[in-house]
Amino acid sequence: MIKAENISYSFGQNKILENVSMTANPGEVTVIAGSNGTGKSTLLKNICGILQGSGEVYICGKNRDQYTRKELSKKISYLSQFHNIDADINVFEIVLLGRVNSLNYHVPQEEVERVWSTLKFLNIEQFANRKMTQLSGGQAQMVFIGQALIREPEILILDEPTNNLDMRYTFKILDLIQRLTREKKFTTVMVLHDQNLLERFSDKLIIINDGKIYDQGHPKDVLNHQMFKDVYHMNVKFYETDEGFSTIVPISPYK
Amino acid sequence: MDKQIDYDYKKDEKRRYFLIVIGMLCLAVIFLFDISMGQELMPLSMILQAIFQRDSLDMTTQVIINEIRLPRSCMAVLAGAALGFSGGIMQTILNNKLASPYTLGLSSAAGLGASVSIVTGLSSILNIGIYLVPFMSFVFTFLACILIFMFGRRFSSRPDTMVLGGIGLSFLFQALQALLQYSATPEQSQNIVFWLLGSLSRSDWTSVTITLCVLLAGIPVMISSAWEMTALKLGEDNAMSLGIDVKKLRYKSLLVVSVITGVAISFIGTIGFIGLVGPHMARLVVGEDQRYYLPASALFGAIVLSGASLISKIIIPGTVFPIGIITSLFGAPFFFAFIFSKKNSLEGGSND
Repeated sequence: MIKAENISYSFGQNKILENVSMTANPGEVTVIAGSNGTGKSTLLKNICGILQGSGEVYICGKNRDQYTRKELSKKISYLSQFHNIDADINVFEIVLLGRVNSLNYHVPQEEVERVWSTLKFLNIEQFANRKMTQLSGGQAQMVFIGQALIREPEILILDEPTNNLDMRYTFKILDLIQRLTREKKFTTVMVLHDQNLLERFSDKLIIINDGKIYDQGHPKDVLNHQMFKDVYHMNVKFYETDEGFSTIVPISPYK
Repeated sequence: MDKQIDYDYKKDEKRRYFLIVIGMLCLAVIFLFDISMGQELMPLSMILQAIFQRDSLDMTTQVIINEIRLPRSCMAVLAGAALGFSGGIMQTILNNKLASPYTLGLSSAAGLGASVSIVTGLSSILNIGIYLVPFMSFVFTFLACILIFMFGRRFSSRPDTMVLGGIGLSFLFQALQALLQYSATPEQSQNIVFWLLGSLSRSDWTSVTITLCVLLAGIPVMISSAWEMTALKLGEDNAMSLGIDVKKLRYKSLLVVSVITGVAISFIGTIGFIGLVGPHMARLVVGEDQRYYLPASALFGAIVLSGASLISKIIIPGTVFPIGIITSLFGAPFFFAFIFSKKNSLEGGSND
């Protein structure tokens, strides 16, 4: 459970976030959307304490600042938008690093087994000895998801987990996140761009525009013509699929 | 699809451990040859005799071994290890494969310090003069580190800014040092050049002991943060979300680096190559799990400097040739060969 109250954050003179308040509940996927550069990533980083602006954040009912770094890292797994995949470390070691707080110089056998079971769960055990540069974008993202899961968090915070991924991996990863959120009662917050996936994969949708919350609620209510005009400056058309999800097609720019 | 997994993490750990042990054996062999070589070849038995049964040898031989050869050979190992280790730490915390004590301006700061003490005449003060040169170069190296700290603090410790700041400092110090050299007497200028080229000939047991102590203090401090350093390799945000205090880790590492590098450079002069080459060899051999990478960086630094010392004795017997020149002259082609051979085998090898 996450509760953020009046989060404001500035970078120098630039106000990135202004009085943003939101909640996210266990077992639900809360998706944050909005045009580029409106402060979505900044909000995620403020929630997990990587950035510290003004306002209060409550994690599982307790003020975030009352946790130590290590305690916080046990509660929250944060998946960054950018990774340094240039490092000469293999997939096994990257997932193992998720347990960094439980490792001494020596790696206990039980941690080794924990890594194997995570790799197997995600079906990426065949890449164990590969370097990140030898993996496709989708495979690499699965590895970082592995690192997030091995930490056994209560909260998953994911910054554009499907960035640059093809249709198959995008679906695979979002489906996995949704399933895990329901099964393990994770409180999941993620930034997502694809307008056609928002409804399918979010339980709650928060739209951020110019550092403020534009609207939030059930995705069906939030996704409407006016929102696309105000936030994305686009005229769109809605089509309903047989499964009951809307497909949103951009038509023309709206000035 | 057939999934064949023939990866065993524990075996992989053992393999890297084994490689480090082999490296240590190589270093030991080079070290022993390095002591034996010199104006005249001295067999190992004679060296052991000089150490354990001083009285059984004539005075000259005993002094040559105990006061000249041993300290120099030890210094080659220790200073090489110090520079390699520092370079390894820097490349990790600044996330830049070009970072080394040289690129960050620490070496030029040391050079400036030495030049100041030579030009101002501090170095010719009776009795303490010879210690003032390393002392001043250490002070200047330390000051350079503090400046880089401040750069970091000003720009929220972004590694790129710190690297750029270091490069800027490096040019500034070089210019100041050139200015001093320009205004120096020919003799002072000669001394500065000799210092800058780097040499093991100034080593004695005092400098060896100090370098050893600093290394013995610094290495465990960094190895204890090895996992955190490895996590930092994946990016700052990732490390922070794993509960690591990235800023503190950076500052701590820079402090250790400044002391270790400061001490090593102040005793042997600026040898830029080792801080770059040691870590790269380590990366190619054991990867970037810092538990192996950091010791291996030190080990390869030691092998390169010790090897350079040995080569310099073989090609020009009897002369004291600046070790810095030999290190780069022979190290560079070796380094290229190393990179290319490893690159090819990586590309050709099957990892799946």
